[in-house]
This record gives sequence, structure tokens and C-alpha cells, in this order.
Amino acid sequence: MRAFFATACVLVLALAPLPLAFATGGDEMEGPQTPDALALQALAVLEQGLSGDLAAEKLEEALASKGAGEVSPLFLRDARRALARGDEAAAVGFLRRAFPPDDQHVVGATLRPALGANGFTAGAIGGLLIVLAGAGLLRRRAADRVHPHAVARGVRS
Amino acid sequence: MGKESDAPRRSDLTGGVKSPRPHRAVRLGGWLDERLGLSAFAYPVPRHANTVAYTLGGITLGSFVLLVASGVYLTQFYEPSPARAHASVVEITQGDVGSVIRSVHFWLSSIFVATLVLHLARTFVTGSFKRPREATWITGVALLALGGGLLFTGTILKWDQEALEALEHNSEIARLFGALGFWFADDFSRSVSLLLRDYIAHVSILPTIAVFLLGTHLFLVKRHGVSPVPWGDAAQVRERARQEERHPFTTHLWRILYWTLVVLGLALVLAALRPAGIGPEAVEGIEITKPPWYFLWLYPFENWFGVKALAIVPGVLLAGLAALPFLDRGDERDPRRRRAWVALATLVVLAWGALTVYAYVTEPVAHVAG
Repeated sequence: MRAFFATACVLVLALAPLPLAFATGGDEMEGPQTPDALALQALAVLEQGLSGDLAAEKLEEALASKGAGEVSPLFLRDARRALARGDEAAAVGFLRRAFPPDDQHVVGATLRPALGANGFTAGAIGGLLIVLAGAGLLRRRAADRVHPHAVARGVRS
Repeated sequence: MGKESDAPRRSDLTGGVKSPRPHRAVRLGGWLDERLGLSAFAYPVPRHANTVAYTLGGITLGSFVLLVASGVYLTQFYEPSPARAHASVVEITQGDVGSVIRSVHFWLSSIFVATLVLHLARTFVTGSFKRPREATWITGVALLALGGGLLFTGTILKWDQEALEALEHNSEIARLFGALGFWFADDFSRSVSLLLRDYIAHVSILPTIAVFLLGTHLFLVKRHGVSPVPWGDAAQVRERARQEERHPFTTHLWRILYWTLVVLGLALVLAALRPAGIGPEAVEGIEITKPPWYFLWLYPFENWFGVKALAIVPGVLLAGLAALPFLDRGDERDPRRRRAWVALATLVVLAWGALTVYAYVTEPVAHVAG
């Protein structure tokens, strides 16, 4: 019986990825990216305050890409030069101009509300809840010690 | 003062014998039980069930209830259409109450993951998955998978850059599964967007399945009782279980309630200290974000093996967890007597931590964009 279960478990583990044998996609890693997409990635990387080296790599790939795109190679080169001298702000400016004027390429930043009166109130209520619930837990613990609620002895294992 | 009332006194009604009057909450409980039969859900619990380690399942359930409550509020203001979803989340985030509720929902999801994983770890360490509790364990593993689904679909609903990238991964994995991934294909329903279907999954399909599984899980916990303290050999464990005091179920419920209030308090404090943000409006064709912390451990696998890893690694892990009761089948529950299994689990936990830290410090890489 034990051998049967062990065999069944090994089979289940071995067959778990079986549906992937019928896969029709999944070659996205090998597909070339368009210069537009790569330039957008470079812009997004800079807008998010990530590594300038990563943005430079994206720009290199965009300039080397043979795919057609609407992005201006002249501005891409300017952005690459700006990055080479460490001027990320200038690179962002060039990248913004590299796209057609009506293109929705602005990546933006994370919106996080500041701690206002509502946040302060929430924090105060939260702190109070923790104190009250903590007191309740201690009270129950003490009650169990002084007045045991035992109703029976256990039998299950 | 001094004027006698005509109304009969309580001692008159009891023939002059003063009996202790039950507390108001007890009387209310009795009144409800008489009509609803609530005591059918109760069972005596061993003393150790009221320790924190054995209350983790209840705390996870409490977190889930709080998530549902805060989620119901958010659904009143969220618009699950690709054109308005991001803007509606921004509006919620800018609102006085909405911002707090959304942040609480956000932090509760992290607390939910933490207590769920700790509950799983406690169950593993104490050998609580062993006979006759295999089905309880398997429903727990299914709930873990479902929890992952809820977290993933919730991430997409924000409809910011991170959300779109998550959806793109979702679609890519669906394509990997060929015909089996039909539900996640854009052309499955031309009149209902993928975002709306994700929303339906998040607020309806997955919670419904979760409630069914949870009911089964709780029924099985009642059926088999709380697992014994594992220390010692099998005979010692059985003997201690026989000797251990049993307490009314309500003592356990009170602890779960208090811990749930602690969780709510913690979520409120975290919401005040670090409100949930929302990323920029999504730009298609780029991939610049990394997943939330609870999925971060998968990121290196995707870097190394491509998007296929996102289907294979969790699948193998869940299959392994589900198979555990049939592999570690001995009578021993004491972790000191199951060293090989504990060593394996420790390795998994260490690998999880290392992968999470590694993913956190590495640069984001494009996997599906382009």
C-alpha cells in the first residue's frame, strides 16, 4: 500500500507539468522587441529611478533593432550620449521628445497619499485596538489559570 | 426610596433561592443557539489549542473575513473596466475613507499570507497532516493555492503598470497551456474584458470556492479534533492527548476574535504609516516592475527559465505539499524524530528567503513585454 502511494505521488509530481507539452506559446523570450518598446522601457526605467546602465542597455538595443518604429533615432542617440555622461535628466528629456507628440508614453510615478488626519485617526484606532485586544487576550489567559474551564479529558490523538 | 414595587422580584420567581444569573452574552448565546443550533459547530478543544501556534488557522480565517469586509466596501467605488479602472483606484486612494480602507485591504492581504504560511509551517512541524488528517491538509493546500489566486487577481485590479505586467504574464501562461488556458484568452469573451473577468474571479468565483473549501476544512478539523502536541514518541503523544484538559470551544473563539482585532489594529497602524500606493497608468509593451513580495521568490525562476517557470514551480510545490501526508506516513509527529523532513522543509524555507532577497536586489528584466 505504501509503495502504491509513493509511486502515485512520484507520478503526480512527474505529470504535473504535462500540460506544458501542449504549449503553443512561450517563445516570447526569443522574439525581438521593437525600437519603440525598448525606448519606452528605457524611459520607464529612468522615470522609476532605476539604474541608468539598464536604460543605456535598452537604448543600445533600440538603436541596434532593425524593426520599424515611430521613435526618432536622433533623439535616442542624444539620450544615449546624455546617459554616457551621467545626465539622466537630459536623457529623459531627449527620450520624451523621441516619441511622436500625441503618443501616450508618459510613465508617471506611484501615487501614495500622505499621512493626513484620516491616516492619523486610523493609526490611533489601530493602536487602541491592539492594546484592547491584547488586554483581552491577557485576561483570558489569566482566567484560564485561575478558573480552569476544563470540561473533560481528551481522548483523540 | 423605601417604596416597595408591585413587580415580583427574581428571588420570588425562583422560590426564594438565589441562583447565579448567567452573563448577558451567555444568555444571548443561549437564545441564538436555541433557534439556530449554533452549538452544532462547537466541540471541546484541548488546552494547547488556545496557544498562539494553534490559533494561527483561526487568525488566518479572521484576516480573510476582514479582507472580505474591506473588499465589499471597495467594490462600491471600483470600476472594473480597462478605461476607468486605474482612475477609479486613484479616486479611492485620494478619498479620506477610501484611502484608509484600501490601505487596510492591502496590508490585510500581506498579514493573511504571513499567517497562512505560518499556519502551514506549524501544521508541518507538528505533524498535524498525518493520519487521519490527510484530507484536512489537502483542503488546506487547496486553500493556499486559492489564496495565491486571490492575491494575483487582486494585484491586477489596480490596473497600473504592475497590474498590466501581471496580466501579460497571466495571458502568456494561459497561452503556454494551449487550449486549457482558454478562460484567460482575450478572445474567450469579446463582450467582457479580461480585466472584468479577473474582477469576477476575485470577488465571486475564488471566494465562493474558498468558502466551500473552508467549510470542508473546518468540518474536518471538528471531525478529527485539534491535533495533539507532537513531543515524544507516538505512544507518549497518544497518552498526553488522553490526559490533556479539554476546554469549551468558546474559549478558542474568544482568542480568535481577540487576535483578529489585533490583526485589524495592525493593518490600521500599517495603513497609517505606509498607505497603499498605486503605480502609474499602464504602458503596454514595457516591463519595468517586479511582483509583490509574496510572489517575489518566483522572479529569479522566471529570469532563469522563462515564463514557463511560473506555471511549473508553483505546480510542483503545491503537488509536493499535497503529496506530503502520503510520503511522510510514519506514526512519529515529533519534528526531532522526522529530521530528514524537517531538514528538507528548512532548505525550502531558506531557498524561499534567499530567492526573495535575490529578486529584491536584482534589476527588473523584461520577460513578456515587447
